[in-house]
Amino acid sequence: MAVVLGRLLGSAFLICFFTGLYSHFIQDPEPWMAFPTFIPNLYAITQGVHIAAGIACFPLILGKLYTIYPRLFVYPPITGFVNLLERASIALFVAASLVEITIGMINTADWYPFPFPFRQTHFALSFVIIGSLAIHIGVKLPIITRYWTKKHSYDADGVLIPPDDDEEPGIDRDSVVPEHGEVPATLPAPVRAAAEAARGLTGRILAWIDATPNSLVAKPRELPAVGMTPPPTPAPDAPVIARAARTSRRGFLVTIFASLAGVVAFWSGQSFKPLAPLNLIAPRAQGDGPNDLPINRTSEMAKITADMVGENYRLVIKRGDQVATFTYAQLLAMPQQIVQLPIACVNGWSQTATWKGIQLNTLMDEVGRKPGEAIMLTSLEVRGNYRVTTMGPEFVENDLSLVALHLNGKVLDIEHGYPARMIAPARPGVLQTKWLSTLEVTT
Amino acid sequence: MTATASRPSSRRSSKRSPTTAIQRWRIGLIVLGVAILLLSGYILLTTVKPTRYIGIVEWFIAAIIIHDALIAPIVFGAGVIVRRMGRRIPLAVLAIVQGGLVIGAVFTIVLVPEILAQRYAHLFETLLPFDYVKNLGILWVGTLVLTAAAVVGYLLVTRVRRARRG
Ligand code: HEM
Repeated sequence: MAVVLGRLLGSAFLICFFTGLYSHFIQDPEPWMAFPTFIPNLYAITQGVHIAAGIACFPLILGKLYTIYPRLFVYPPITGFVNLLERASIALFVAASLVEITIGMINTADWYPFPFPFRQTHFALSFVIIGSLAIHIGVKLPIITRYWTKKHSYDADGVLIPPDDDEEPGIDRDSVVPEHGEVPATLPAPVRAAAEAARGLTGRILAWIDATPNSLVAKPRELPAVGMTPPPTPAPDAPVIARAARTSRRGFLVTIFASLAGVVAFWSGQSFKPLAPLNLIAPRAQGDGPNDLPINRTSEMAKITADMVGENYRLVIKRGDQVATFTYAQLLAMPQQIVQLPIACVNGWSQTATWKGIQLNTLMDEVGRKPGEAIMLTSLEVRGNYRVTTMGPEFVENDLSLVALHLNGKVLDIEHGYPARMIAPARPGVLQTKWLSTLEVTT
Repeated sequence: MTATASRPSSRRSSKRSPTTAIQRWRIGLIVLGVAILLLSGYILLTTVKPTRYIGIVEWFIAAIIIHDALIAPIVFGAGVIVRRMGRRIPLAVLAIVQGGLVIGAVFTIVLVPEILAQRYAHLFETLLPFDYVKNLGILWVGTLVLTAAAVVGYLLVTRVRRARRG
């Protein structure tokens, strides 16, 4: 059971890691990097998946920790140097994972109550997690391969088969045998004794919890005290116990999957339209906001004043010595294109909208743009991490990239970047610069 | 490897070669893991100010304490109480009830940050548009209704089956 959950949790971690890396490098690209633009929703998908897999981690990790909780109390706690390292790496793994998913979750509400910088810490911890995950899988590999398929894990009665000592050298068998729900009463006595002795108090309680209902097992009080070898209790029917264990196991897995499906379904409507009617718990709602679209940074936060976007507004484009300046009226007079593109926020929400504006590549042609050139975008905002950003040639040349003046059939709202903002395919929202002031060729 | 192996070792010879392959994978994974951990240390050193490390350590410790000393014992305790009180109740019914409680708890965990953020974060238009306390209530009611339905369904099905069997 722990292997089933571990497999899913491992996959969720890896999905988060790779979608997270994508998000990191699209915001802070290395000079040689180029990004695919042929799927306009690409970033909306990768980041939406990041958050969905991220919240799925909550039920998965809690379930996984529940199945291994008894192992926290094994006695003796440490049996040697290698064991110490193993336990330390697990402690690090668990702590880093819990902190990572918790801060990620809190951040989706655009809240930063941390005594450390969110993005950098979330980034560094992701490597801590993936590193200790690799170590953990390495250490547990024999067990994982042993219990990969159900067929090889349970005998005809549905009882978990313990590993042979000589079949899987190097496994401590107590890490395999006792799991919540698998009452090992039908196991050969020595295995059971070893297993139970290693489980300590909590293990006893688990076994007792399962053994209690319907007086399945002889009086629970007869369970041995901590540290003693269990006396040979008259074993009840193997099939009865196996059925109970199976019910427990199924109930547990169904619970984990139901809660997983629940949180993902009631959350993902903020980025996935078919689920929008179910959206009860996401931090954003599609269609909510000026121009029927949510925002992430208000004009007030960016310190944009009416004066900055009034009569005096100019959009400046440059390439070396060539400079062209446009008033808002001049921009409106240029040929306008209409595109459907999403705003895809780093926080995970996204929504496709209808934009109208000037194609970026034709606008840059006014200063003699050459193929392969990147540009630097500057916003009117006074300060902000994304006031100045760059855009690679793959985005500059894309016909879908616009300097947008209209959104969803209306003049761009000031909260969406009036007078003019960038909108390009497959990029995170933070790079869709609002209140554009200059576009400058950099290469 | 102890001498107390309690199962027949007939598969021993046939398993030998996969085992060495597994050993190779193990070493590879562990080496890879250590390398990534070193990289994470480098990333931390170069991107986060050392004065902030203490905050990260505090959160690590808090996470372990909140889980291992709070959430887990409560869940185990609840398990004990439910099973204890429910000696005469079919195991499947208990499992369904426990499942319902866990699902509600997971919804609660996921919603707590938003409920707190609504109070303490800098809010602006379109951020956190719902009444999350109310929605959490809706989810709890829905979960309880479904749980009750599942229990009733289970009892009906077993009754019908038992009746059929004679
Ligand atoms: C083990 C699980 C996770 C891993 C390995 C992971 C990894 C990453 C990485 C590498 C980034 C890129 C950071 C950067 O741009 O420098 C990222 C960003 C992000 N992650 Fe995660 N993450 C995980 C879980 C979560 C969860 C559970 C959530 C929320 C529910 C979350 C929310 C976010 C958000 C909102 C960002 C965007 C940050 C930004 O660019 O401002 N992550 N993640």
